[in-house]
Amino acid sequence: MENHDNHFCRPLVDGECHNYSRLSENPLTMTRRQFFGKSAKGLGGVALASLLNENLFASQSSAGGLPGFPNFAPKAKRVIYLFQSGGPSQIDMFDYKPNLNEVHGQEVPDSVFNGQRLTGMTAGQTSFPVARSIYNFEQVGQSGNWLNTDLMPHLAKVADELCIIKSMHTEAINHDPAITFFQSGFQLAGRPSIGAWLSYGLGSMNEDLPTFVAMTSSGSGTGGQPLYDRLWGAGFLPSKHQGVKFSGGKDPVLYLNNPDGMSSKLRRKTLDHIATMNQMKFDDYGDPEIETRISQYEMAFRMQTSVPELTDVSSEPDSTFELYGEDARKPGTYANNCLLARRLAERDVRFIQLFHRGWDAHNNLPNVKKRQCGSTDQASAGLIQDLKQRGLLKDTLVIWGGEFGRTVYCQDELTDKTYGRDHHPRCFSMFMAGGGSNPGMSYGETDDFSYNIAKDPVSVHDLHATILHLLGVDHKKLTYKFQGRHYRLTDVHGKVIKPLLA
Amino acid sequence: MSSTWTFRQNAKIARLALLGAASACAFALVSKGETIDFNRDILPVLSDNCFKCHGPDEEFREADLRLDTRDGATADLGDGYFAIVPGNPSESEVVWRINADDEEDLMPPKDSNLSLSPQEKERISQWIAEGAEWKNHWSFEPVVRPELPEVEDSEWSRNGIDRFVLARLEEEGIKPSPEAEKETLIRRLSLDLTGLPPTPEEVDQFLGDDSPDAYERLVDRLLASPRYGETMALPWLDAARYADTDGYQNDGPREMWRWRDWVIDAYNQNKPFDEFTIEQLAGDLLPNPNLDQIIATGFNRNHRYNSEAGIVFEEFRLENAVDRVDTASTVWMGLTMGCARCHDHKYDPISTKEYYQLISYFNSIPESGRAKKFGNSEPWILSPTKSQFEELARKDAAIESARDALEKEENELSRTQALWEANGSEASRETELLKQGRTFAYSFDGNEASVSVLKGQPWFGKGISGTAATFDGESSFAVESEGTFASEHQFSVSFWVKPDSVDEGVILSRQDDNQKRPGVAAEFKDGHLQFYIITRWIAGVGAIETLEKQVPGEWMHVALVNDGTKRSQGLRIFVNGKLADTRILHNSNSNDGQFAKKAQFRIGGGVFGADFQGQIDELRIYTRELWDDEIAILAESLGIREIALKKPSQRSVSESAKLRAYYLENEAPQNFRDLYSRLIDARADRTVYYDSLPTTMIMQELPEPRETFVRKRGVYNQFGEKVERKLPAAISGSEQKFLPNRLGLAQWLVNGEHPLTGRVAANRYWLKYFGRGLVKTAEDFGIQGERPSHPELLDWLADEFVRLNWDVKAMQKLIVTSATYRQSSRMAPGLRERDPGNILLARGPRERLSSHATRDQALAVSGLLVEKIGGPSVSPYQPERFWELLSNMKYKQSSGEDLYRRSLYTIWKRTIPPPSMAVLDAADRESCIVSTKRTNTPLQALALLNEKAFVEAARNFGQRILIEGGDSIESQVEFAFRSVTGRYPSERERAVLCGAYREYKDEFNGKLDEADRFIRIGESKLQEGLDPMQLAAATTFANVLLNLDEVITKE
Repeated sequence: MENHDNHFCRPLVDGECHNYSRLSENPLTMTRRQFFGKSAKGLGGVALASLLNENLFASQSSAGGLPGFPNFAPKAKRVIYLFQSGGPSQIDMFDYKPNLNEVHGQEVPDSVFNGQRLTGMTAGQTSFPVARSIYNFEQVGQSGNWLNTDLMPHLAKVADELCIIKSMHTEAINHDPAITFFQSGFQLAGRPSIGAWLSYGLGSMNEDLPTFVAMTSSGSGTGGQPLYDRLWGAGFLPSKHQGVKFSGGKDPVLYLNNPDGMSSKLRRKTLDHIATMNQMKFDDYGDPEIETRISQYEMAFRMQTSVPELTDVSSEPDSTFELYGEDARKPGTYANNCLLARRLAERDVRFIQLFHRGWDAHNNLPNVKKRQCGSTDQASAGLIQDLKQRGLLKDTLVIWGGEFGRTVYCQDELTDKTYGRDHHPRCFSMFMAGGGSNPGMSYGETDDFSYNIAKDPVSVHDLHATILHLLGVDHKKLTYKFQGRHYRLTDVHGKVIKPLLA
Repeated sequence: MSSTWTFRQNAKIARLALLGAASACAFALVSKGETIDFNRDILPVLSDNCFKCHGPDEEFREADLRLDTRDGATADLGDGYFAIVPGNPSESEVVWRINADDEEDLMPPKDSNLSLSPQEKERISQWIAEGAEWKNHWSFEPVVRPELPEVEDSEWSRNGIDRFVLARLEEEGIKPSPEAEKETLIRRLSLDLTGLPPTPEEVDQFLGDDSPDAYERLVDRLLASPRYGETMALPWLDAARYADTDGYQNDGPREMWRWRDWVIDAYNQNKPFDEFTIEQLAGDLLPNPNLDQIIATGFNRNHRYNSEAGIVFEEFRLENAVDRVDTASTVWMGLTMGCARCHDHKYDPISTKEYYQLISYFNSIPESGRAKKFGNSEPWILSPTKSQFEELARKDAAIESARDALEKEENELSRTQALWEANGSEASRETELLKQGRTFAYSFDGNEASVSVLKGQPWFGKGISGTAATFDGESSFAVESEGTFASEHQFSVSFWVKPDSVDEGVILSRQDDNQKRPGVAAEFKDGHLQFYIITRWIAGVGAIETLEKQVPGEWMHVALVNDGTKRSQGLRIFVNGKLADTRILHNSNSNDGQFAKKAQFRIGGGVFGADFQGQIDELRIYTRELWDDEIAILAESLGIREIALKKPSQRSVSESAKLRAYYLENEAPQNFRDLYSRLIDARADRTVYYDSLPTTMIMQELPEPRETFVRKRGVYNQFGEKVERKLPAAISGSEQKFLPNRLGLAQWLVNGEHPLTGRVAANRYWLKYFGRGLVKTAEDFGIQGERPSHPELLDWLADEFVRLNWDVKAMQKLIVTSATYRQSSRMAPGLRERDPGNILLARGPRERLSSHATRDQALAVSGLLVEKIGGPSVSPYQPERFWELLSNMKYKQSSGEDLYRRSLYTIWKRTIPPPSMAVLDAADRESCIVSTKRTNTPLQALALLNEKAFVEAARNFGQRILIEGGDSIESQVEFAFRSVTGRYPSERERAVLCGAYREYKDEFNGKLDEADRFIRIGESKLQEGLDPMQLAAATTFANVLLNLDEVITKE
């Protein structure tokens, strides 16, 4: 048998990679053929190749993935990952600890610390007083999960769709390594991001749009911890698997617009001429890369139409903006990005990831929370509702979470109204919704101080394994050989957390 | 299409055709009857499938069975079981296990997702039957220069390379491709050796040169071009993960361009590879190293560096050393040492202990573990360029000349000073002394408005001069917002102090009362005088204290000086006019001073620590570093008037100097005061210039090597056994004759006998020209790496490199003058199917240009390219707010010629690389990359079509087409096409291109507004006198040309 490891990783790789890259472009080739059919250019060899490929893929809905993938029937076809960068406070959002009122202001007991390392920011603190959460928590929905209803009134309304994990933990204690770990399964730069792994393993479901789209928020989602290209990068995978970054504004994808003064009609003409010249070159040189290039230029042209059409939300009815909030009209906002995420999901983009910065609350946490929740709560909830009403939630996995949690002890000034919290990797909360996750679930428990996990820990690798599982992928099988080793998203760890599955 | 390929129909071909599509090793297959080659046929199978559990890694070895050594594999496993019984497959447990039907017994186990093919199983049996011969992994064996193989075709070969290639092709029954057309060759050579295309004139010259050595002279010309060094530097910068920022979190700027320019220069000077290696790995350890050799060591400091406030220093000191070891291993040895960080290497014979032995060569440098947020982290060196050295010398000379001018007037000066001493010295005031750069001076001779009582009741008692502020430990003064004591600013504080006690007491401070404690302070602690700047406790602290204990009850003069370099070494304490010996208490002071502007400047107390008891007098604050001689003057206790009253012959040196300084500054005749100002200005001028000079992060050894321990599972604080510096045994053998430091390690690498260095370097050169190394996995020559396609050729090249005394240019010349390189890159149909990756080298290389060359070519043909070597990185066009949307840094776009420098000089922000280059597969520079990929994506098309730099290049190219291309469409098309391809268009191409150009003219006809907007893209000046609509059409045409497959491809 040929499992994909052998197939991809130690072959006469040159030849196979070629085949691979050509196969992956198959749907594009077909469209190109249709296009060239219209413009009546002779493309015998190319057309034949696409016909062959067409047959090859006749029974598949997606193109470019690895043979044998998905490994089993997927629950989710696509993912919308709402990354909350900076480390949201679990204590103030999901992990309700009423007992903290009684020990508020007192030193956190040594037994709770248990020798954990602190960051260089609070290691020098002489006092570690407990800071309770100042917010109102309620049991919401049928499931009766506790949520901070002051800050998350909208998410509270979709509580029964949420699969809350309260026992996440990570190895990293600082932002850069922690967020890199979440995105790539490793704290240091160089590994592929989740979306890139999925593009590599499962291929594309849409011939006019990228497989992996990343978006970043403007407004309250700027400032604070920076983001990096590597977070949606392809690492050692071919760079075509990297996330394509969409941004608000007139050029939603880099270099999408024709230069000022050049009409679309003229651009079309130039592409025809480029294609004709390239075809002659192919006839002379026979290099299959030339064929690929021809099809990629066509894909570029299609993106010039498909992307603006996608990002133009003016045709959305008013009810959409009631759902997501008025902010959703403004390009670049978190709400607008959530709406775009739905539109991308509708178009079968495989992996959609939003990055919202600004959750890093070392001091004045109530201000941070007010700002961050104020700009994300309604849109996050709106997205889930919207997906549900469109029948997309059942096969779209929504994930919400940051790179770590925050300490129960106070950093900076502790008053009745304000307090801060340092980074906390030992436990924090995230949630999933739809896509085969278990709705209305609350999984895992922490101790009375939300400091240590008391029950059912979930590591970052476990989460990755579970996400891949929902997409029909065995996390141990999705590998790529690099520097003599078969790498995978979950490194050498990770297990699927079964109770999280519906 | 004409085919020049002929295939001999023999059995071998039929077999290859059959297996070519499915097999992993189409060209390495053995058929029945052929002997097994352990390295080719067995070791990769064992390694890939078995070593993970039965390999070198002791800790995770299953069933005590080790299959990576012959001893292990043939050992008695007990109960009469042997994994391998040489000569007897049926007695060998291995054979039974790999063929087992029962899942329980089957190896590799099902859940490993590994399995053996029937052929692999068969070959293992055959190998055991033939005696299970074991060999060392090929790349660990010494290089033995192979004989040049005999070939049937005696005409084709031009040098040794070709003999090996041809022999292999003849074996396969394939004929090499004919030589490429001359136009193709000169373009290929120019792009390969200079990164730029040839001009039509250069093409014409080459076409017109029929002499037999025309090609070789062309190669020599290109190798001599300064562009050669730049082009060779690019892959080296990728491997060395060179960048202009730190790469973590905020990803702040650093300054390493002097190292980058060293690399370019080294290639242009043709520095031999052994020197190139030694200087980069250990230039600092050479006897009397010069500045260039020290700058070279920046290689090991190019890694990412974390400045996050929360990090644990020890953790990142380890990460830094890990990156150095992994990079050096990959670059010189093609080994993935990093695997052995956490456990013994699963495949290669590198133990975890050996890994940490290597770490110990690279972790003994005086570094903090935490990077500065903005700027170079220690250790670094001031590294002026040659012209900057000259400028500095001029400024020193200006100081000297100002001093000489004063000295020349000594007689007259003494005379007038004596007159003044006799008459006017009564009026002197201490505060008029050394006023330059002073923001605050206070004599404590009575209440002044600027100073107020903050706490308790300080009073004025008898001081060093007049009265002094006197504190009882519960009182202090405050001055509103005095002193911008940020760590990145220069400042000096001078004062007299007479402590009642030196046990404790904050003398001066300006600090915030919160847990970050930002601020500056001087205090007594346990007898020592401490001086510190805090930006964030304890993550950002620079603190020093005097080694000597101070004496209570006596007046002492103190000067605190910060040089603005944001580090403890930049802090100095002068006691009584002399630089005090100090020790560093903290050196994490790497942030910019985010100083609390609300905090008061306190005299006699602080917000942390006890208040001061004793007296303070004559406090002065400067926003510059004081010179040593100025501090000596300030430390002179005798007042100006008192000195003046002494006879000149009875004055001490410092008394004379103080009096003279005061006189020159305030009382001397105008011409002398002017001379004095000239000296002061010359000094200030030098200081400003000196501070602007570039620095480079470098390697340095600690006086005592840092102790190194194995880290269990690679975790920084899980200590295992202590290790000493030692080279890995599997490669170095048991003899360790090299110095146990980086110099020894570097010398070991290039001693000419190292099995890997030559092979790995030669393979990377090969990769540069052919797009594929002879060993495809250029980063991995270990057991899991690919076997070389031409093992003997690789060894011959490696040996040749040593034989040529590591002459780098000679190696390039050797490769590009081979017949192999000179082949046409057309793919005949038969060959395309048979050898799509061109492993057999039956044709020339054909590959899309690198991101750098793609842009550089566009700049070159447009006439915009500015050919200037080196200097600080430049910031060409980027999409608006591209950095700002993701990070906290603003992109400051360059202007003028910096927009058109070669891409090598484009600023590289590691976490957000230049987007058009990232799209075109540039290495990300986050870690060592020795071979970049070439992909083919729609985003690349969009960038080449629409990106500002490419559109601007098209417009400038368009201008050239209109001006230099003659008057007709046909002549303009020919000129333009030749400029980008080097060749004349075919008739069909000509027809298509002329038709296209006409269409663009029609399209813009009458659309003045559109045309005008289109041709105004970019900051370069619009050529006057051209019709905008004609230029828009020519620009469109140029835009099309710059997107043609042939144009963005080296063929």
